[in-house]
Amino acid sequence: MARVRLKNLTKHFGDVVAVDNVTLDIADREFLTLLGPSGCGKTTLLNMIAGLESPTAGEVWFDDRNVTAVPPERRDIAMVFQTYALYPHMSVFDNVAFGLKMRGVPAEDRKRLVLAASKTMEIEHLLDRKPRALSGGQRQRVALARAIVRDPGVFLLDEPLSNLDAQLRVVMRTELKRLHGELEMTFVYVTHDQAESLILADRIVVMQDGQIQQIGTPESIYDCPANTFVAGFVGSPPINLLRGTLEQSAEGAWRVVGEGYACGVPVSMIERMKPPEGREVFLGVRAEDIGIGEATSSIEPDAAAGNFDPTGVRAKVVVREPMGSDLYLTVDVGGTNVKVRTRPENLLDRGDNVGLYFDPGKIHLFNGESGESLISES
Amino acid sequence: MWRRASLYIYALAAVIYLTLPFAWVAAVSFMPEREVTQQRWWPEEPTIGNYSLYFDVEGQSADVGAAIARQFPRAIVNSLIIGTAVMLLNLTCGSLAAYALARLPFRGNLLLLLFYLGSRSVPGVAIMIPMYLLMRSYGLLDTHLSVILSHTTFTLPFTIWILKGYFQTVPLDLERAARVDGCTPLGALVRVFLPVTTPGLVAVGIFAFIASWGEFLFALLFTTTIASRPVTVLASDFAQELQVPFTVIAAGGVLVILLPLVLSFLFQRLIIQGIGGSVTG
Repeated sequence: MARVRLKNLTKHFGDVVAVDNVTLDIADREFLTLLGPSGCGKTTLLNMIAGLESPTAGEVWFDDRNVTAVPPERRDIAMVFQTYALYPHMSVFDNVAFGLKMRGVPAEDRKRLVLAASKTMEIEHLLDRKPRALSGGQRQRVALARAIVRDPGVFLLDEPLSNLDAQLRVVMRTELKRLHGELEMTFVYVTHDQAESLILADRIVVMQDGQIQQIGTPESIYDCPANTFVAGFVGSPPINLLRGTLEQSAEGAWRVVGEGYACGVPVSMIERMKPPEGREVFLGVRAEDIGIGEATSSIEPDAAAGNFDPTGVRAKVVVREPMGSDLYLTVDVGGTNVKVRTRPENLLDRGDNVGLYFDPGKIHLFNGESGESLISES
Repeated sequence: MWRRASLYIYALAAVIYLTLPFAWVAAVSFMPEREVTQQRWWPEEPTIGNYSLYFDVEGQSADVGAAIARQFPRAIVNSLIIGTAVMLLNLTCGSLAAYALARLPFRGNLLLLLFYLGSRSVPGVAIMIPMYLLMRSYGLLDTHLSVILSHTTFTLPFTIWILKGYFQTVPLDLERAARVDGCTPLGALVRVFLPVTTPGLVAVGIFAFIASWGEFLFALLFTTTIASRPVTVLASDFAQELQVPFTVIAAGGVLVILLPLVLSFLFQRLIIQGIGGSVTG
């Protein structure tokens, strides 16, 4: 049981700033994922929680204990590595028992604990084998057993599923979620897979260039991304971003107008909006929030000033990608490619012109320069 | 198919080329003296008589070469002492240096590596006289230590190079896992890193031992009496005595080769793994 607090944590490697002034409070028994592209500093951050890297500045606290200077062997942690890092010269039993042995647990108790952990991870039949005789999925289970056997306060996982094939990854993902429910430990989980993050986490920390971009529940990260980076990184396919200008009509209604499209902005959103510095914005809209209207004969803009459909989007289909349960269309809107999710029955194909509809309640508006969200979270 | 066959033919030719001289020495060592002069390939009346000179503990024999042969057991012990010490020095200094070069980034590490490599290209003859003067001024002439130190200087660079490459194949996560599991840095090295790298360590250890066992120049230079003389140098004494039967010399040759040969066969699997393999988690 442990609450982990990071205070202004910074790590430099020579001139490279890997982690830049990160402050984070991880609740006891929380499942927190650190999400970001490779090189964003998430693994370095995890290593600093583990004590495997010492911070250039800042502090790490476990509950009321400042552990910044405590070496990993004296922190109450367990870790699962991307490469599994099983000891190749030891049997599965010895691998799982190693941490207990190092901590002076008597042989009798060791055996009991190893058997219990093996049962949880369903590897009882593998205990006599050497790691090289195991499949990827089995190795992963052994690595997890080795971590849970010590009943640590904090459980650190560094991209544990990325070496598994797609099918096994789905199985182990479920397994991890079950494990977290049973074990009541604090999980800190590093991944670059946004789907994994959305599925597993209580809270997600999105990182880029060593800095935290956003912290929030999967829902809030998905529905209210703090900037264009988070919006583009979380969600599959990535959110569509279109350049546009924020305008107010004579009647007082707001809309965003850009190349080939216009989209109304609901009043409720305007009320929550931070005053934009300029009128230039990015309009973000996810593939599932775009409706498909009638096929049209041309995409010539007829939205002359004062005479426009407030939600009209004119597009031409570029690529048709059937995905079984869904159909993804890539369409051209004023020179920008936009992904649209629709039903597989849809017959639109390459070259067809089509009218689209952005769901005004689901759009996102970002500052046209900084990329920060214009909508304050409510 | 043809490609495969030619590969086998080439391999077979290489094996014959490499083993034929040894095989013939071994065959001669079992021949009575007159068979050698008849240019035989194989002993027709095999005898172990040639070996009896080497194990003539009471010193009864007055045959030609017997005085030298009698010193063989002692010389083999000298070679063993020297070879084992060279091996241990290579393993301790070599593994620590290689670990530092493989794991800890520091200024000038590449330069240091190139320096090691460069030192290998200096021919022994070039530094023969300075080395001799050095050993003499430290009073080390005719001691095991002089031979051990000189052999270590030319085996250690090779050891460091091989081990550095081998250590770099050990995933860093293994040591990290050991740390998280409760090991101190030294504990992780001893309990996880070294056991995992055993094939590499065995390989370079045996290479160092064999290199030392077979070295002749420095051993000849620094040793004068049987107190420190290794077996290679002693075997060359046969050349200075007239009319030592060739069969007896061949038996001596077999005795010199025997130990390295046995070692190589015993640790064959580990040597191949250590030189060509890598460690995976």
